[in-house]
Order: sequence, then structure tokens, then C-alpha cells
Amino acid sequence: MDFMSNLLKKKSTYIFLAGLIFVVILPFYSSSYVLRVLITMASGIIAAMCLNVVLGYMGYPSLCQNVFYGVGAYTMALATVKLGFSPWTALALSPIVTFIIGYLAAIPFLKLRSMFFAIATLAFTGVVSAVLVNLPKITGSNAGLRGIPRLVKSDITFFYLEIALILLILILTVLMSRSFWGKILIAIREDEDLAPHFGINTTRYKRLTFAVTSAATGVAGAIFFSYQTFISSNYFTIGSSFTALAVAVVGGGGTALGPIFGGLVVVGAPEAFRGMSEAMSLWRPAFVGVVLVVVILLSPGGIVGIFQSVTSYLKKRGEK
Amino acid sequence: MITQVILNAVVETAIYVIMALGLTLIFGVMKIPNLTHGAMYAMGAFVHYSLIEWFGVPFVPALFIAALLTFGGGAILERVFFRKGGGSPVIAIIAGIGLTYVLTNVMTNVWGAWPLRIQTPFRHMVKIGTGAISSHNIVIIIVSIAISAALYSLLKWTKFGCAIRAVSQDREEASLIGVNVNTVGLVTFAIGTMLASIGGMFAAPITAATPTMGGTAETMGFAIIILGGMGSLGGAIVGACLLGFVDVFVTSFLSGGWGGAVAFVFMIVVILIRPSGLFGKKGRQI
Amino acid sequence: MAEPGKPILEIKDLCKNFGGIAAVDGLSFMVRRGEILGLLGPNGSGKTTLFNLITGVFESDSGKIIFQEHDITNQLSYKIALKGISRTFQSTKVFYTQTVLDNIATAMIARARTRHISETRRKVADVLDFTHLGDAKTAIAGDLTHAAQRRLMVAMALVEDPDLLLLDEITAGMSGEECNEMIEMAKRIRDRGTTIVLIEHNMRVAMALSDRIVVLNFGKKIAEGKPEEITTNETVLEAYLGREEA
Repeated sequence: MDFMSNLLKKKSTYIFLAGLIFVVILPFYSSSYVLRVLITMASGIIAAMCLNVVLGYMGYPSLCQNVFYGVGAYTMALATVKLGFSPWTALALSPIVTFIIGYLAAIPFLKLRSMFFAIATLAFTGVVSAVLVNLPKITGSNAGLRGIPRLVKSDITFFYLEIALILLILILTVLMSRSFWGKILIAIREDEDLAPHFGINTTRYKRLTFAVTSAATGVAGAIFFSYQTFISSNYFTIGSSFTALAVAVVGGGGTALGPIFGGLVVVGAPEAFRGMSEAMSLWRPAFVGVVLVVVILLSPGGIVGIFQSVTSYLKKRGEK
Repeated sequence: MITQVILNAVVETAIYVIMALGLTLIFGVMKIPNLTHGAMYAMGAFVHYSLIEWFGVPFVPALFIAALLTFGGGAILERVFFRKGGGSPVIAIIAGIGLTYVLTNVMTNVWGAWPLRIQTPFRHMVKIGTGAISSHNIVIIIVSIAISAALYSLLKWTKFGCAIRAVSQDREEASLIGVNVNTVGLVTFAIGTMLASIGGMFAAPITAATPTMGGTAETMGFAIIILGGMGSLGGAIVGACLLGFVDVFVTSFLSGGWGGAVAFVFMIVVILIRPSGLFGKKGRQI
Repeated sequence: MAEPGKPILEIKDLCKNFGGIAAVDGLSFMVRRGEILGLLGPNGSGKTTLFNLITGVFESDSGKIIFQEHDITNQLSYKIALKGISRTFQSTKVFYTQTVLDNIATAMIARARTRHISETRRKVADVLDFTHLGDAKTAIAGDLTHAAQRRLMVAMALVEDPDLLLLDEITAGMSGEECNEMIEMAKRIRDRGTTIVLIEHNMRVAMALSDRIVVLNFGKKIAEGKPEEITTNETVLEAYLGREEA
């Protein structure tokens, strides 16, 4: 109750609610094209929020988020198309399968540090990508699989489903960051060799964190491809594995809201450009690249980092 | 049949050697993985193409000019984006990814996404046993050997080569004894980038130039230097031979798509078992 | 509880090689409960390696480490910490970007959840007071003075009441006055019932604090006894002087 009344006093709560209302109304005023963009952006944000926990809070630069998105997506696709399950059953299966694969991958990969971890996960993405392409009988390869049933009928409902998931993950992330788990992840990020001297079983927490975030990413993948009803291995190349990374980095690592801003900038802004001029859409990847480079070199804290610097600067000036 | 496969493997190895040498050089000196290597590989091919098609420069001189241009390009990249020295390699990785996005997009918009055919003047076919090899490929092999020899000489016998070795062993120590670490980094990065682009220039007539041609080459390059030991030139050559042959044999005798996957699996296995590679320094903590 | 004076830690024929060099070479000694044991020796004699072996950072090649009747040889670091061994490090290791309070909280996480929050709060207040860091609770660790950072390191090692505390050159980089503060603190730690093993290069501190001293050279024990006996021991003098000449 204490918590609630504190919350009601803060200005940011009202801004957040206003934003939420805006988001809820948005689909009714959007064309079907814009809605598609919103759904894609929301999906990317979910994947980035999961990556953010591993990269921003735990300090492990994972470049294989795509793999788990794909595992969840293919579980959805194969369970429904080839095994005849209902989409909701498949949706329930996705996180389970992805969790298992995530945990298994965690065992060898989390023994590595920093750069080697990044390269190994990149290679992992390559292997999985090659597997997806080279097993046409199972995965449909580049031609893909069609006819994935939709979880819900309308696009708008899909959008709400994703928003609900984003909110859920947002709440969980905030709770986590304030709890013992968050402290452990930060300890791992700041000095992984020091943490065990305080009795922290770093291995267990690293693996669980990695596996759980993978599972959540898998759910995002399952939902998106149920929406799209079509999947192909083209979506899971090494190139596409960088989108989630871009979103997480640009938004700001280690903050709960970061990936949301990152998604708006990385996915949303280029699409907004597309509206303005055909020519701009040609330069979309370059735009993403430029933002990524500028952010990582000038403000590694991402957009949220910029906000924080600006607000603390203004506060200091206010105090004078 | 097998002779042909072996010949193909040798050619592929030669191209990979050029690429991997550049990559391992950059890593050895700057301690960062250069994720713009692939993009510059492709850029080399396109710049070369432009010199030939737009400016009418003949193939061979165009090679030299394009090499110089990419040397300059590499220098600019280093100066603007990668001059962090002791900075976190993760920042370099992400910056490299961003730059690759930009460069690839530029290439797509300027030259188009369709494969560009580039004609090589070396079209003579030479028969060896049951196989045949084009004179272009022979040139690649010669160039590859020449570059390896040149690099080796540079490192062993020139003052600058000594500086490079000093910086790659211990950056701080090197600056204490008066080596201009920044210049060494700049030139090394430029050389490495130039080598990448040379690889692309030679590969383009064989495989046709596309903006994304650098992707597989770069990952292969990383697999090679991880196998051979990051920072070790000899390791890069050995790694290139190993993986070049494995790749071609797998592609020729098994299905086509698995070649890349095999390289990746190698990479993961090596990183897990012996991150320093075959010839790298043991216990190198990054 | 075991009687005071019984061995809390036993090192038996411990060996550790690094690429052909024996860092610890058939080392055997024991630490009595409630004492302060000084671990001395020239640079490179294996002292920090020994700490690393005890806390599970390195795996030993052979030999045993017995802590309170449990064999902890080659156990995982976090398990050893949970059994009641804490340490500090030669070069300060704390979480520099976190506040003092967060640092201490992190040091307590593994055990805090099985405990009532008021108990945790009491322990935090207690240790902040003990290490004179009460005023700095909200300061970022990276902004503290060197000596304060080292006191923070001690606070983090102490907060869960370890039975054995390993101090690795805790006074490194400290002024004379700061050293005196540290000596006082160490004595108070011992008085609260924690056994201490300390590595020290500062002879004044080592002599002032140690009840007994073990001297190492090239990974072997070359002398053991009371501080007064050690200062006159031939082998010890030779080890230190010989090293300086070389």
C-alpha cells in the first residue's frame, strides 16, 4: 500500500499511464500497414528486453538471440503445421522447448567471457541458421512453411497480446532488478570473479537467467510467426540476429525501459521515414547502423543513458 | 575429380589466407575483432569494379589503385571509430556491426543488390591432371604467397614491423619505449582492411560481387584466426589451409549448404577447448 | 563449538605448479582457532597462491586443505565462502560502480534470504560502524579514498561473520596512520572470534598483529614460530636478503 501511494505521487507514473492509453488506442487509428509495423516493432522489443537482461544486467554480449526467437517460432510452426496441435498448445510448448535449448547452450557458452562469448554465440547463430536452411524436409528451408494458424483472429488483438507480454516482461524485469536476482546479475557483470567469494553461485544464476530469457524470446517468436502465418529460414540469418542487439544497445543496457526506446528508434523511426519519402526507406539499414555506432561510441548507456545524463545535469543546474 | 577438388581448395585457401592475415594482424595489434572486415572485402570488389567500368582503368592497375583507396578507407575507419586502444572489445564489436550495416547499405544503393560480373583478363585454363585451373586462380595463389612473404618480411626485418610486434605484445610497454602506438594501430588497421579488400577483388571474378559477399568471408575469417590463434600470422595461414580444405571438401562431397556450418562448429569447439588457438599465446585473457 | 586453540585450518602437503614452476611445494602447516597467523615471505614465495588455493580460485595438484574438519580441497569457491571463509585481495576488489551499501548488500545476498530483514539491517549497521564507513554509506565505491576502499573490502568480507578471514596485504598503499587504524581493526576482528591469516609485507604490522608466523620461500615453509623467533632466524634472513641481492 505504501508502494502504491508512492507510485501515485510520481510524475513518471502518469506519463507512463498516458503512454499506455495512447498505445491502446493507437491500433484503431492505424492503417493495416502501420499496424504491421507496430506488431513487428513490439515483437522486436520483447526479444530485446530479454537480451537486455543478459547483456545489460548480466554483462554477457549474446549475439544469438535470434536462435531462440527462431526455436520458439519453429516450435509453433512445426507443432501446428506438422503435428496438428492447436496454436495455443504450441504456444505453451514454445517456451519449454526454448528453455531446454537455452539451458543446454548456456552450459558450454557461459564458460566464456566477453568477446569470446560474443563470437561463440555468433557462431552458434550461424550453425543454427545453416541447419534451418539445410533441412528443407523439416523446416521448409527458404521456401518456408505456410498455414500456421493464428492464435487470435484479428491483427489488433495480436497487437494487444504483444503489448500485454511487453508489460509483463517490463514488470518482471523491474521486480527482478530490485530483488536479490538483480543484485547477483549486477555483481556478475561488474566483477564475476569476485562474486563467488560471497557465496554466490554464479554458474547457476547465469544459466537460469540465460535459459529463462531465451524461453521468453521463444514465446515472442511463436506469437509473431503465428500472426504472420508463414515462416522461412530467411528470417534467421546472422544478419538478422543483430536487430535485437541494436535495439537493446541503442535503448540502453541494464534498464528496464531501454529496449522500448530502442525499439522505437531502431524499428519505428526508419518506418516513419518511409512514410516521408521513398528514398529514405532505401537507407534504413544505414540509419540503424549509424545510430548504433553513434550510440555505442558516444553514449554506451543508450537513449536511457542520455536521458539520465540530461536529467542529472538539469538537476545540478537547478540546485545552483 | 579429386584433383579438381584439391585445386579448388587451394584457390579458396589462398583467398582466405589474404583475408585472415589482415584480420589476425588487426587483432594482434589492436586486440579487437574487426567486424568491418567483411564489408571491406565486398567494398574492395566494388571499388575495383568501378575503377574498371566507370573510369576505364585496366584490371591490374585498378587492383593497385583500389588497394590504396581501401588502405585509406581503413585508416579513416580506425581513426574515427576504433581508436580506443584499451577499450572494451564489445564496443568494437557493436561498432563494427553498425558500420557493416551502413557500408552494406551504401553498396546496395550505389551498386545494386544483383551480383555483378567482373571480367578478369586472366582467362586461360591450365590443365593439371584430371582437373583444370584458370590462370586467374593461379594469380590468386601467387599473390597470396607474395603477400604472406611480404608481411613476414615486414614484421621480421623492418623497424615498423618491430613496432607492430612490440605493440601486439604489450601496448603499454611499447608506448613507454617510444613507439607511437596510435600510428601503429592506424597503419595496421589500414593494412588489414586493404588485405580484406584485395581478397574481395580477387574473389569477385569467381563468385560475382554482391554487397553481402563479405558476410560469409568474414565469419570464415574469424573461424580461421580463432583456430590458428588470434594474432598469429602463421596460425592464420595454417588455419586457412585447414578450414579452406575442409570447407571445399564438405561442399563438394556432402551437400552444398553445410560448408559454413562446419566452419562455425569448428569455431565453437576451438573457443571452448583452447581459446588461444593452435599458435596463440596460452592463457591470453581478453 | 570447538575449543579455542584447536586447528581451524590445516594445510597438508599442498602442491601447485604453474607450467613447471612450483608455486606451492609440499606446504604443510596449521592455523589455530582464534589466533592471528602471519604469513610472510619474499615476493613470489606462494602466499597469494595459497590464498587462492584455499578459496577455490585455483585447483591444487595434490595435497589437502581441511577447514573445521571438512575437506575443502578443490571445492567450488562459492561453497567455500558459504562454509565460513572470507578474504580480501592484494589489489582492491570491490564493485566500483555500486554504492557502499549495495556492495555490502551484495556480500550478504547469498545468506540474506533465509533471514529476517531486521537481522540483515542490524548486521549492515554493525559492519559499517565497525569499519568506520557509516558516513559513506551512499557513496559510490569508486569515489572513496584508497584506504576507505580497502576498509570496504574488509567490511564485505566480515559482514557474514566468517570463522576464518584471509587478509592479503591489507595495509598496502596505506599511510602510517591508516596502518594503525587497520591494526586496531584486525585486533577487534580477532576479539570477536574470527581467526585471521594475514599476508603482510609491512614488518611493523606483521609483528604487531601476529600471534604466530609462518615464513614461505619458493612455495615451501622455511620457518614457523613466534614473531621474536622469526626475526632472528638465519634461514629467514637469508631468504629475504638473498632475494634482494638477486
